[in-house]
Amino acid sequence: MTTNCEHIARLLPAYAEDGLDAGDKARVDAHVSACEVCRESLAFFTQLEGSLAERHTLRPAASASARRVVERMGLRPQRHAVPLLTRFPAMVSVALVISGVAALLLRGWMQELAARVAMGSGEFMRDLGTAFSVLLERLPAGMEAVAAVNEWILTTVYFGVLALTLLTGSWMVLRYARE
Amino acid sequence: MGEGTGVTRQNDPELIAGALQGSEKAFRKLVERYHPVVYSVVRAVLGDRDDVEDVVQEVFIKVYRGLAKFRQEAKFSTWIYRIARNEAMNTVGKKLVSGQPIEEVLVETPAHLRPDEQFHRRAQRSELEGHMARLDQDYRMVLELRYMGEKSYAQISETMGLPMGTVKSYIHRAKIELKKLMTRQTTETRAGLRKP
Ligand SMILES: [Zn+2]
Repeated sequence: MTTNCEHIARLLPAYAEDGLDAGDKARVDAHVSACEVCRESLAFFTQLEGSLAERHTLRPAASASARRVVERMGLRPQRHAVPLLTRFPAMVSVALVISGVAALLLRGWMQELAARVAMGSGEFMRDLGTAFSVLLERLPAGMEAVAAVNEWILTTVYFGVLALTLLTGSWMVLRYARE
Repeated sequence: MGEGTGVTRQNDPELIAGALQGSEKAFRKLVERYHPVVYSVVRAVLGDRDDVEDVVQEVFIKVYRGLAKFRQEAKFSTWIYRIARNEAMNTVGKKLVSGQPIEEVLVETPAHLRPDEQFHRRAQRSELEGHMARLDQDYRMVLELRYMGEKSYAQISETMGLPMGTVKSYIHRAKIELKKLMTRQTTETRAGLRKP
């Protein structure tokens, strides 16, 4: 072994794993073609590289291991279970939309009903209708103003809460869906 | 290396957040992603023992329980590496390392080889296993992460918190050490020497 051999010997493991730059690789090639000791050494490292490269086949499958870990911990698969926190705003907004639409429809329908009943078909119904329309007519003017303001406040609050729950609901659903 | 590169691949913080919210799926993905690292680390500390996979699972249970304490400034691989190393070291302390006979190591050999070739291959692997057990733990650690765990130098450097140059030189020195051990054994066998 010469001093050159010592220098080359240090490069051989990297050569065997194909990790040398072109210059060093050429130096090793030139030396190895002339030096039997280093040639044998390189053969060893090449063979070792082959053995090591097969080593990963000894490792058990990650997916099987992951399944066992999850089982051992008693974690239940909950693939599509949406957390309550995500469901709540969504449910509230749906309820608000339905009740809002229902209130609007019902309001028109109620007024129509009252008008029809007042026009009369059957005594009882007429009486009921008359009582209802009389009640409506006799509402003092002041009350109407109060009712209008109340309606305005209610509408604002209603749409505010609706918008808020819709926004948080969809944000959380989107966030969860990315999982 | 060899990890999914699909569009839907989630990064670690996303999976950690999912696992913290109780998503079994997110945690399972994390385990799958870090299994090669944890397995290699445990194997590097314990060697070829029957309970390696048991310890690996213990590590992941500890990881799950400690997930809330994980600080995102640190690399997840570094954090998990430390847990795996500690857990494996504790196992060494608790149970006496039995030094399972190398002959009993069950290794798979490619089926396309002739029986004598298979035998030769198996013997080679057992030999390697025995010599690896005699390396310094740091050397064994980098070798296992590189070959058992199929990690790149950059990934090993990040995981172990070592400079890339150090990782490279550890791997090369580990191989030179293996050569010494294997050559010594060959000369001893040739000379008919046996350990008392
Ligand atoms: Zn030489």
